[in-house]
Amino acid sequence: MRILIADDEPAILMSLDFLMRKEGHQVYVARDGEEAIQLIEKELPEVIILDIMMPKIDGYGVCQQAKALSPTYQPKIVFISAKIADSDIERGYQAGADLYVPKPFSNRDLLKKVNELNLQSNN
Amino acid sequence: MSTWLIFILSITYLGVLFFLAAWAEKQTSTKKSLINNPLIYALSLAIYCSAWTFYGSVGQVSTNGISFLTVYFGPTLVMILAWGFVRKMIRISKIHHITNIADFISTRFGKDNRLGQLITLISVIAGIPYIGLQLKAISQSFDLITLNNPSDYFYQEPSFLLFIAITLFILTLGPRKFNSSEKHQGMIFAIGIESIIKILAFLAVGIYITYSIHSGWDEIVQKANIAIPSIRFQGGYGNWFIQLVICGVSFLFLPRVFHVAVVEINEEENLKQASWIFPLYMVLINLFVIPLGFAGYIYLHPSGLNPDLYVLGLPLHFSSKTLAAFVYLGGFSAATGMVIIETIAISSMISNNLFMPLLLQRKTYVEKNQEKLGSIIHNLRRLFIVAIMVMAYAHYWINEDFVNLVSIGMTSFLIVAQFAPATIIGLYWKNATRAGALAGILIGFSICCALLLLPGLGISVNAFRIDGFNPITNAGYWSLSLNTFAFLSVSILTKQSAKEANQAYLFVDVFAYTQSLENTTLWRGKAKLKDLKNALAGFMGKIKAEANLKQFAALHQISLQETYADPRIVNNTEKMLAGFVGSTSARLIISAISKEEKIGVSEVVDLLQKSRDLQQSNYDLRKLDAQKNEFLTTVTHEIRSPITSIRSLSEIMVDHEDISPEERKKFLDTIIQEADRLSRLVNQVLDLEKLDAGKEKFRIEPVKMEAIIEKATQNFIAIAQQNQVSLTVDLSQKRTQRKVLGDFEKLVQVVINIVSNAIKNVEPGSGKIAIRLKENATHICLEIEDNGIGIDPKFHDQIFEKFKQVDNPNRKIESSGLGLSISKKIIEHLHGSIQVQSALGQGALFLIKLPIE
Repeated sequence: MRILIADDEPAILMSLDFLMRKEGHQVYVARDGEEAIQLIEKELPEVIILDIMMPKIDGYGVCQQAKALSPTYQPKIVFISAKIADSDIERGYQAGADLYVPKPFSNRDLLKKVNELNLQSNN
Repeated sequence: MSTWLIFILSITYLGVLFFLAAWAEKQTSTKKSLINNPLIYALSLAIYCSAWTFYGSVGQVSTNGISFLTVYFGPTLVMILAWGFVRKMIRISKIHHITNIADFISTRFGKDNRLGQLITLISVIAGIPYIGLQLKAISQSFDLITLNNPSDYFYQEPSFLLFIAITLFILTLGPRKFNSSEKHQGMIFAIGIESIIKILAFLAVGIYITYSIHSGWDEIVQKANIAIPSIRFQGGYGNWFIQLVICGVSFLFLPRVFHVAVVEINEEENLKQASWIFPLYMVLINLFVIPLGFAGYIYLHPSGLNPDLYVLGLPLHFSSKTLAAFVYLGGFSAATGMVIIETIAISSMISNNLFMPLLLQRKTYVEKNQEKLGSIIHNLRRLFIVAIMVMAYAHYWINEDFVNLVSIGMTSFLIVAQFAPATIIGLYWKNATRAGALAGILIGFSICCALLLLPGLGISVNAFRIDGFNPITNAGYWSLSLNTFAFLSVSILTKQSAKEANQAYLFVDVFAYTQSLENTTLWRGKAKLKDLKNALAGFMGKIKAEANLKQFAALHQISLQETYADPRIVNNTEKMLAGFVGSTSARLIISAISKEEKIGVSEVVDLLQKSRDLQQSNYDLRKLDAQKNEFLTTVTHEIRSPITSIRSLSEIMVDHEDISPEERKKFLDTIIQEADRLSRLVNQVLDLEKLDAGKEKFRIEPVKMEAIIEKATQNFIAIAQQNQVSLTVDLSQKRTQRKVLGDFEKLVQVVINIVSNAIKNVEPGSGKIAIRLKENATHICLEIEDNGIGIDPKFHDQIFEKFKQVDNPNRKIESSGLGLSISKKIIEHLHGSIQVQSALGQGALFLIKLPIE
């Protein structure tokens, strides 16, 4: 599977990159919203993991633009965010997220949920 | 053209207008957008342009040159520049349920009845000839277009029938029963339509004469140069200036303009658009005044036609009958619009300010007829309207021969302008008193009368004549300056009553009180709930009164079971009554049905001050609370990031034993870095909290800035080299050994904070950071400059706030966003200042100034 990860925290990017590659996925990383959109347009990844508070364009914006890219392209969107209030989570789902994972998260948990997402889309 | 044709045209026009108004009135309940529309509001303001504008300005240009322009410049400037003043008037009127200008001024000065009476009388004196002028314009234009020979008896005049039709029109749509506001939304819609018709008619004749009969402006001006011996541009700057002042300041106090601009406005927002649409209207309607004036002089002067009728005479001269009829309608709409609103406004003034107070003095009559008061007033209003119309018509009929349109108009403006000093200054100066207002207006009005009327009686006023001024501007100069002088000096010499002081505060600080007004109780006394209810029922009907009271009580959680009413209910009842009978009469009614205690001036001022302070501190507390919440949210958010990395990376190392040694080292290093970041963050938050609470201990001693810089830069030598950033220190501009008073360790921390930000913001390889020390007689200045990405000036204030990080595309090292905030607190604690000078892409210069020991 092809996965894009966007987060402005280099350490988080580093660990998720490692994790997903170990799972056998093809991974693209972006440090901000703009970079993320460029990569999405070019690579059309199946899963997009997004931080919300990023420089230039925030996670909501990236999510919106990715969804509007083409009618045939329907990526799964996963938000990972330190914003954990109920209202934040609700807003994330309203913005079109398929999954909202609050920070800090457990790797195993995250992987499990992403894999489930993948299964859903295959069915 | 046939008399019948024009007569039927006029009546049809009134009929259409009537149905438009009735239709729009119906729509108000369903479609708000139709009436609550900035365009309609702005167009209704054009009621300022009466028949005087439509016919008179062209007459004026052919006799006096371009001095007519002041009449338009004045109000235009007011709408553009004095926007805030208009808004203040609107807000005040809305809060106090004010329905006319007499009410407005008397309410400002302690709801004083005498002041209201004086203003009403003056408005009537200024208004009736002005309405007569409109009737004259209708009649003369009617005679010209139908070639009717004026009869010796008014009842043989066809225009007399039109006058009756207009009166009926006003009676039907004007005063209304059981409605607490003086709003006539349907009527305003009709007035807006009239404004469109008059401007279209005027533009049509302008374009026809300028571009169809002539080849454009040039041809007319050339012909005029030959035909008119000398085109006079009368009056010097003095005349111009005084006329401008008269027209500008009287604009809002003309009863009809006050009515449309202040009473009928639905939303303050509409004023914004009106402040450009109205000036635009004024420009458009003046566009062809000059060519029309010239053309009128060229073709019609020889025939001896009254210049005030050139606008209509021109299309007739060129046998363009349809256009002439259209122009006639334009003039008719200009005149009727003015007459309709002016009579409604003046009749409301007479009834509320002159008549009601007299009626209310007869207590037994009032008590007997309490339930019928609403109907009585309703009928009286109608009677007043008829009386005003009759007086105006009589004035026109008797004085027909010896005045032109402009001089009556200007006199009327000048008289109304006498309200300006007290009102304008009274809205900004709390100490203005009722006595001052009375004195100013009386003196101003008397001077106007003396200077304008005495010459007519053969008494010379030459002693007061200023060279270069015409009679009007001369009278304007003396009356307005002495009016202002009297108002100010009497205000200074006299004392306010408690009621006056109360009103002064509520008017001058209206924007501060808007919210708290409902809850501010400045009334102490006893009034029976039953009496209040009955008083209200007399005007709005029993059912409505009951419902209104219940609604207010429910809103403010007041019990209606008591015998005596809560002061807030008394207040509210007074305001509701003010909508029907004006604030002074409402005051009289309330004091008649209640036992009131006197409240002293200082008590009133004190109470108002308190209610305002409370409101302010409440607001401050809420703001502080919100800031605290935001801070907490941000702190937890900032802490979550490093914890996430640490957790995730450690989990990887537990789960993947096959990890390469290089990767293991990289992950462990990151974990250590993130743990450091976490502890730094916690320390900084604690520091900031201590600084905020004033608990941080400072060890104040004389310190050398050189030593501080040395200690701080030590930490960066390695990092700078590693990133290939040049870090230079220049101490050459500080020549003495003087020290500052400060805490050594804390100042080192400040320098570290700023330099570490600079290192993050410059490009590796080409980055330059310069630290300089300078001094003057009182301060030592530390400058830290970098050539990094810079900071947009719009963020300069924000960067010193907690957690305000500006988007930085090259951010490589994480920062908490607390460093600058802490630095600022430290520097300010040491009585110094910290500033930034920067622009995007231009690097940044931080300036720290500390006082010398």
